[in-house]
Amino acid sequence: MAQLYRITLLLFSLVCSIPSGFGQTPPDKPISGEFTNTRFEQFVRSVESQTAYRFFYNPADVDSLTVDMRVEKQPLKTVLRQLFEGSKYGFSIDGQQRVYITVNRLIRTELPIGFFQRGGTDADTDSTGSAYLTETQKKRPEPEAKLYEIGKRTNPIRPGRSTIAGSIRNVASGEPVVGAAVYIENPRLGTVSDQFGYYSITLPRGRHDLKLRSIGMKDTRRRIVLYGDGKFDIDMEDDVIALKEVVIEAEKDVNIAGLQMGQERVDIKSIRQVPTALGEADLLRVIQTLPGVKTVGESSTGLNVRGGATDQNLILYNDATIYNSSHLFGFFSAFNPDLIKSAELYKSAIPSRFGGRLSSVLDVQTRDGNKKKFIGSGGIGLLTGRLTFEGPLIKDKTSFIVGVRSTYSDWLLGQLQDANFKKSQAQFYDLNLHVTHDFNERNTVYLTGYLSRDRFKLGSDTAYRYQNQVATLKWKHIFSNKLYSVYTGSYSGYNYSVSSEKNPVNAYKLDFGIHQTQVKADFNYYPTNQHAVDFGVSATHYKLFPGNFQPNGGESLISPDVVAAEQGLENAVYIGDRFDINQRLSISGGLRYSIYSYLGPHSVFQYVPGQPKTVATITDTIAYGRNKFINTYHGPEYRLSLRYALSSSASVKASFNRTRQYIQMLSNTTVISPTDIWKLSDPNIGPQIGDQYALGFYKNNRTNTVEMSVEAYYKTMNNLLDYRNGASLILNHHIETDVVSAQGMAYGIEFLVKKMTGKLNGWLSYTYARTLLRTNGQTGSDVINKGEYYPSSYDKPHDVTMIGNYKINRRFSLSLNFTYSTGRPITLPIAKYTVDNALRLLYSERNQYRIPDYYRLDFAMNIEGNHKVKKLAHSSWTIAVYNLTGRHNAYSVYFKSENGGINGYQLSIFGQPIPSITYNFRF
Amino acid sequence: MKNSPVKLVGWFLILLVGGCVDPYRPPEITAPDSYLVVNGFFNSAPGTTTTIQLSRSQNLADPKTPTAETKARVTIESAHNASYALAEGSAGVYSMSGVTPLSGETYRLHIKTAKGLDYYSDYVPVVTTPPIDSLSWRAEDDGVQINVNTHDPQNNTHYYRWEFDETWEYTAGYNSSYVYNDKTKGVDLRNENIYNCWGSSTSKNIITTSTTRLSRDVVSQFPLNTIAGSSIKFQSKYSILVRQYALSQAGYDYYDQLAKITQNIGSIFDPQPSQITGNIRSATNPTDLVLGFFRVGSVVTKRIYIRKSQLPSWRTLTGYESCVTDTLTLRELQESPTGVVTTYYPPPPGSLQYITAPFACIDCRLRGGVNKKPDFWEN
Repeated sequence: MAQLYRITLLLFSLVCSIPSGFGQTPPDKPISGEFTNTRFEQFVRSVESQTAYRFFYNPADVDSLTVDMRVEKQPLKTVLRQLFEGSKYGFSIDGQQRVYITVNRLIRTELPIGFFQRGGTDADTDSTGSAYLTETQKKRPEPEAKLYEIGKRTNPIRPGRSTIAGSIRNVASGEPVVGAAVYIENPRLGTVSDQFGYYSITLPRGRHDLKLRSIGMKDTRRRIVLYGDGKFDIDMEDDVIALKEVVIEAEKDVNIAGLQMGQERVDIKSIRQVPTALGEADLLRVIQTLPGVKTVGESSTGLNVRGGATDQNLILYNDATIYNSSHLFGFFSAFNPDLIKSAELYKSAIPSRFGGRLSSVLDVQTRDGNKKKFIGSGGIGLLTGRLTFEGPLIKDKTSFIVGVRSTYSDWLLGQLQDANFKKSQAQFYDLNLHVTHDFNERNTVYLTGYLSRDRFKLGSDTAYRYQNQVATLKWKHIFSNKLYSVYTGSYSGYNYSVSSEKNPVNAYKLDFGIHQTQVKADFNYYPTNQHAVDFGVSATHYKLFPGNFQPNGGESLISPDVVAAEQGLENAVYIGDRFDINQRLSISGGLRYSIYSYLGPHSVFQYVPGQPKTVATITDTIAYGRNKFINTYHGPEYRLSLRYALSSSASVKASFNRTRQYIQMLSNTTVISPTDIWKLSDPNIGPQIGDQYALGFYKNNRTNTVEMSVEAYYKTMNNLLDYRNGASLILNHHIETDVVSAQGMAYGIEFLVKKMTGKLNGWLSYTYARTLLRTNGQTGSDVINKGEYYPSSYDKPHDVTMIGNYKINRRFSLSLNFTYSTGRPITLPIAKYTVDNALRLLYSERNQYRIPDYYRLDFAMNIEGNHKVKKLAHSSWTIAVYNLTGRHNAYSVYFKSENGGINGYQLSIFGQPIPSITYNFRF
Repeated sequence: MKNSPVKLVGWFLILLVGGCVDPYRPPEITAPDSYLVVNGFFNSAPGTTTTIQLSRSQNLADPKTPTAETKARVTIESAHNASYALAEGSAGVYSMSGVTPLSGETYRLHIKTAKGLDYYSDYVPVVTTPPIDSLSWRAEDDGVQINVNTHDPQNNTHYYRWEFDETWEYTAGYNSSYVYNDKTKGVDLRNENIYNCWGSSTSKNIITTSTTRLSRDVVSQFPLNTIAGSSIKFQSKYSILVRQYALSQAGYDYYDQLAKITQNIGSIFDPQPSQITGNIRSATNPTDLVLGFFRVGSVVTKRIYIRKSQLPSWRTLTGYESCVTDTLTLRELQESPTGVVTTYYPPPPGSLQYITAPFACIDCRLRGGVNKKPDFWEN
C-alpha cells in the first residue's frame, strides 16, 4: 500500500510540474444579454447561440436556478462567476469550450477534465481544481470518480423518490461493513448499514454525492444518478494505517445525528489497544471501562450496567445467548479477540428487537471469513495461545473462519515442584466456526458454532467443569430494496459439573444445565426515507436442569438428589419505527409484547398468603403434567426515544424503555462464580420488570473530532431477588424460601469526552451513579435492613476512567489507562463474641460499609512490524504492564476466626505490577 | 535450574490464582448495643452438670475479656411446664446438676437479666449423640490427617459437630540435671523435671458435617485435623481427644452458616457475610439480638495416641535447633547465671566446669506446656 502512495505522489508531482500554457483555450468570446427571471436552461441556450461554448449539466440540479442579470460584452467566465457567487453551484470550462455546471464541489467524471487549462491559466478562479488534486492524493480515484446510474434511465429524470439498497463490503476481504454511515448532505439524509453490511436509503431522484463513513475504513463517496429503485453495492477500503485508528467510535457524528442513546460500539482495534492483565485483548474488559458499566472486582467479567445485576445483560454472540462469559475464574473473557468484529452495548433505549434481559444488551458480532484469499493469524501470550484461519470455500460466495484458543496453564502447573500445585489443574479452550454463504444477491446464509470448556481443580479434591455450546443458523432474504428479512434459529447450552473423588464414600458429582432454543424472524422495512420500520416475532424455549447430585463411583454412599427440571416458553412480537419528522426532530417508537409461560411437568409449592415463604408455611403441593401451562406472565415493553438537533453539532435526546426478564441467576457470591444457578420465573418468583428514563445532551466540536456527552438516567427495577441471611441455593427444591423479593432503584449521570482522531486519542469519563435495593416483604426473614433502601453490592458512586493512546509513529504507540472508583459496599463486623471457644463476629446490616477505593494505572506499548506488503508474516508485539503502581486494590475484605482470635484481611487479585508480552501474527 | 523461566511463569499463575492478602484494619465501628451472648447446652447424659455461660458482645477493638452477664435468672423450661433453675457460680456462669432431660420432650432456655429483660430460646428437642466408631489417621504428603468415623444405626442423627483437644509430649533442647542456686552461689542437683512437658491446644474452628445426602447415616473418614509432619507435636507422642455432638437441623444450619462467614473465606467466590443469630430471641425487642444457640443433647468422646515410631521418618522442627551449649567455670556462672545442663571434668583431674545452655533451651515449660503428666496420659 505504501508503494502505491509513493507512485501516486510521484505521478502528481509530475503532473504539477507540467509547464503552464499547455493546451491553452482560445480567447474568450464575450457574451451579452439581458436576463430577467430567466430559467437557467434558457440562459444556456442563449449563450450557446452566441458562442462556441457547450454546457453540460444535470437539469435536475438547475431546475430551480434562475438568472437575473444584465450582461454586456463580458467573458463567460466572469458572467458565471458572478452568477454562481455564494451559491452551491460551481463551474469549469475545458479546452474544447465545454462548460460543466456542478453542484457544490463535485468531482469530475474523467481524470483532469480541462485541468491543464485551469491549472495553467487561472487556477485561482476555480477551487475545484485544487480540491480535486488534494482529494485524489488521499483516495483511489476509480470508483469515486465514476458516475453510477441506478434504475432505468429516463430523460428527464422523473420527480419523486427512489430507494437504493445494497451491501457495503470490505474490498480486500469481502466482509460486510457493519455500521457504516451512508448519507447525502443536501438534503441531509442518511442511514447506517446493519449487521450484514446491508443498507437501504430513499433519496430524491437525481444526481447525488453519496458519502460513506465507517470505523476503520477510509471515508469514501460515490457519484450516482438515481433514476429509479435499484441495487448498489459499495466496496470500502481498510484504512491501512491501523495505528491511526480511532479508539472507539460509532459513526463520526452519530452521537449527534443518530437517534440511539446509551449505545456504545467497540471495534476490535480499540479492544486491542486497552492493556489487560494477561496481555490478551479482552472485549469485556474494554466494555467495563465505558461509562455506566461497573464490575465488582478485577477477576470478574460480570457487567453491572447502570445499576443492573450481572444476570441482567443479554450477551449475544451472533444472536445466541452466552450464559457464562468468562474463562479461568474470570481472568479471561469467553470471546476470542481474533474472531470478534465489533460489539455494541445498549445501556438505554434498547431497540424493540431485543428483549429478555433488564439492563443491557451486548451484541457481539464475529467477522465473516475472507472471501478472497486464505489468511491465518494468531497470538501467543503468557498463558494463552490462539490460532485463526479463514478463507473462501467458494470464491466470493462462501467463506469460513475458524478459531481456537487455549491455555497451557496446566502444563505450567505441572512444571512446579510443589506436589499440591502438581495436582492442580486449570484449563480452558474455546472453538469458533463461522461460515457465510451467498446463494445469490437476495439470499445469504450464516452458520456459527461456538464451544467453550473450562476445567479447574485446586489442590487435589473438588474438580469444576463448565461449558458453553452455541449454534446459530441465520438466513437473510431480501424481498426488495425496501424490505428484507432475517430468520434465525439458535441454540445456547450451558452446563457445569462439580465432582469430588477423594473420599470414595462421599464421592459425588453435581450437574447443572441450561438449554435454550430460539427461533425468530426479523423484518426491516423502509417505506420512505423518513421511516425505518422493523418488526418480528420470536419464540424461546428454556429447559433447565437445576441440580443433579449423584454418587461418583461404586463405593459412594451418596444418595442421588435431583431437583426437578424446569421448562418455560417465552414468545414475543415487536414492532418499531424510526420516524425522521424533519432534520431536527426524530422519534423512534417501539413496542414489544412478551408472553412467558412456565411449563410442566413440575410440582409447585403453595404458601400461606401474606407470610414469608418458608418450609413451615407450605400449604400444598400441586403437580402439573407434561407441557401443561402452570402460569403465564405477559406484558408490554415500551421503547421510546426522541432526538432533537439543536445545531449540526449538538443535540438532545431522551428515551424511555421498559424491559422484562423471565430467567434470573441466583448467586450468593458477589461475583459470577462457575456454580451459580439460573432459575425461571414460576408462580412463586415473578418476572423482573425494569423501567429506565434517560436524558442526554451531545455536543461535537466543529470537525467531529471531539465528542462530549452527558447522559442522566433513572431506573426502577421490580421483582429483583436478594437472599435471606445464610441462604442456600444449591440443590434447593424450593428456592423461593431462600430468596426475598426486592425492588431496585438506580440513578446516575455520565460525562464523557472522547477524542477519536489525531496522535493523541482516547476518552475520559466520569460517572456518578447509585444503585439501591429495598426488600418488599413485610415481616420476619423477608425483611433485610428493616425494609429500607440499602446499597447493592455493585454500588460504586464515583467512577473516573481515562483511556489514552498516543501514537509516536505508524508502528509504535503507547497507551495509558487510569481507573478510579469508590470501593464497593461490604458488610463489616460490628461486634465480637465467643461461642464454643472461638471468637466470632456479628456483622452489620447488609452493605453498610465500603472497601477501600480502587485505582489503577495500566500501560501498554504496541509495536507493529514493518508495513511491507509482501512478507512471510505480519507481526506485532504488545508489551503491557497492568497495575503499574502495584497498588493493592482490595478485591474483598474478610475476617477470619483463627486460633481463637479475629484477623481482618484484604484480598487483592493483582497486588503487583503484572507485566505481559504478547506476540500476534498474521500470514 | 532446568526449565526455570517456565517455572517462573508457573509461579506467576499461582500468584494470580492465590492473589495477595494483606492485613486489614477496619474503620472504627461501634455496635449500637452490646448483645447478650449465650454459651453452653443442656447436657442430657445422666449425672452430668449443665453449664450455661452468659456474657456480652464487645466492640472489635476492645482488648478486655468479655463482660460477664451476672445476676440473671436462668431457667430451663420444658414444653410441659417443668422448670429447672440454674445457679450462678462464678460471675456469669450458671449451672445445675442432677437433672436429666426426658427424651421426646422439648426444652427452652429462659433468661431474665438483672435489668429485667426476658429472652427465650426456641423449644429444642433432645438430640442423643451416637458413639464415635473410630478415629483414624494416615500420613500423607508431609503431614498427618486425623479422621473421624461414626454412624447412626437408626439413620436419624444426620448432623454432627466435633471439637477436639490435642496433647503432645515433648522435650526441651537439653536435659538439665543441675540448677544454679543464687543464694548459695553454688550448683545443686535439679529435683524437678523440666525436660519432659505436655503441650495442649483445643480446636478453634467449627467442624460440622451432614449425612443428609447419603443413603445411610454414615460419616466416613471425615477430616478433623491436619498436622504437619515436622510439628513438635510429633516429637515423641501425640494424643487427640475428640468430642462429638449430634445436632438438630436448626443447630447444624446455625453452625454451618457461622462457619461459612467466619472460617472458610478469603477465596474469590466468597459468600456475602450476613448477620447470623441463633435460636434465642428477646421477648420484647426484635432488634436486641442474642448470640449463641441453645441445644439439648449429649456428648461422646474418644481418644487416640500417635507415637513417633508409627510415623515416617520426618524430621521434627523442635524450635531448639539454634540452642548451643557453653562451658563455664563456677565463677563465670556466678557472674552470669544461666541454665546448667551437666558437669564437665576437663583435665587436669579435679577441675570442674559446667556445660550450660540458655533457660529457653532447657525449660520446656517456656514453650507453653506443663511438666506434670496429664492424668489420662498412657505410657
